[in-house]
Amino acid sequence: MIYVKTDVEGYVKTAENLFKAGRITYNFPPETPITEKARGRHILIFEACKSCGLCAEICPNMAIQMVEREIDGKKVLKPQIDYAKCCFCGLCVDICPRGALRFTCFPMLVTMDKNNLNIHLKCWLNLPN
Amino acid sequence: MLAKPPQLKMPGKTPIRGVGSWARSRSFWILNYFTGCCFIEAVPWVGSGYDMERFGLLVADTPRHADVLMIGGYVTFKTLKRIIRIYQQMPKPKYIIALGNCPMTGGTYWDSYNTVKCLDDYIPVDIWIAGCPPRPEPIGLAVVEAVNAVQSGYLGKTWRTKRRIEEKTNKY
Repeated sequence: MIYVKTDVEGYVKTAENLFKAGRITYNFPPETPITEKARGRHILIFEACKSCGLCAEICPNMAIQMVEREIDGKKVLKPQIDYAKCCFCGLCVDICPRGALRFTCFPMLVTMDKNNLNIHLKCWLNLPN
Repeated sequence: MLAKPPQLKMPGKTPIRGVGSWARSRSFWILNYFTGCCFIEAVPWVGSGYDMERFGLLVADTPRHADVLMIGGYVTFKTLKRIIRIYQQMPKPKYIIALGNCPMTGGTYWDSYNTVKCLDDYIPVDIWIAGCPPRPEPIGLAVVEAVNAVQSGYLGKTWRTKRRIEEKTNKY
């Protein structure tokens, strides 16, 4: 019965759309995020990351490198992701013990020069130097 | 200190140089050469949801009518011969858009024996779209970027410009 009900709902919806005035086409650039469930660029919560390096070890495409960086006079290792290699499998997000690496739904990764895709941490966080 | 989620920055508008470059930028004819799964994500642009004809994009039948060659998915050495042959048949100025990670670095097939790891070594690629596979929206951003570049007189990468860039950076 559930299948019949969903089928009928679909037919009703298409019949409504036939006679409804308006447009189906999305605007570009998209005003609302169309992709709320998709996996996009990561964000790193800086204080939660304890630089264990598990994300770099589990990455199947070797996209994550641990890069040394100075924060408040201390040298710490933080992950850096090369989006020319990343396949958005989500293993690094799952394994992170403190939930420091997270996905956003930002899919726009377009460049004329592919070396720009190795996005450094300072670009993620909008930090100086 | 929380990291900010990324926000979309649209590329700034460029000056239009000449009638020819203006006309060329508003009417890209695309030849699709798809070898992998990225094709599935590029198909919605044909439908009315994304509607690629508002940008002036049309699907060309033969390489002699095409301005843009769109390569999606991994490239093997067998398909590479066909790509080079298609590229030679296209009239100048010609542009190449590559979809997905596999033409860039090999992507998931980084240890495969017959995938081409760096397509840039064989043909000059103008725009790269990252993702595995990319969502349909970045293709629109790539088109906007291409329109901005072409209307200001960009004639595509050639072997000569590529060699000049390599000599400057001393890559090899």
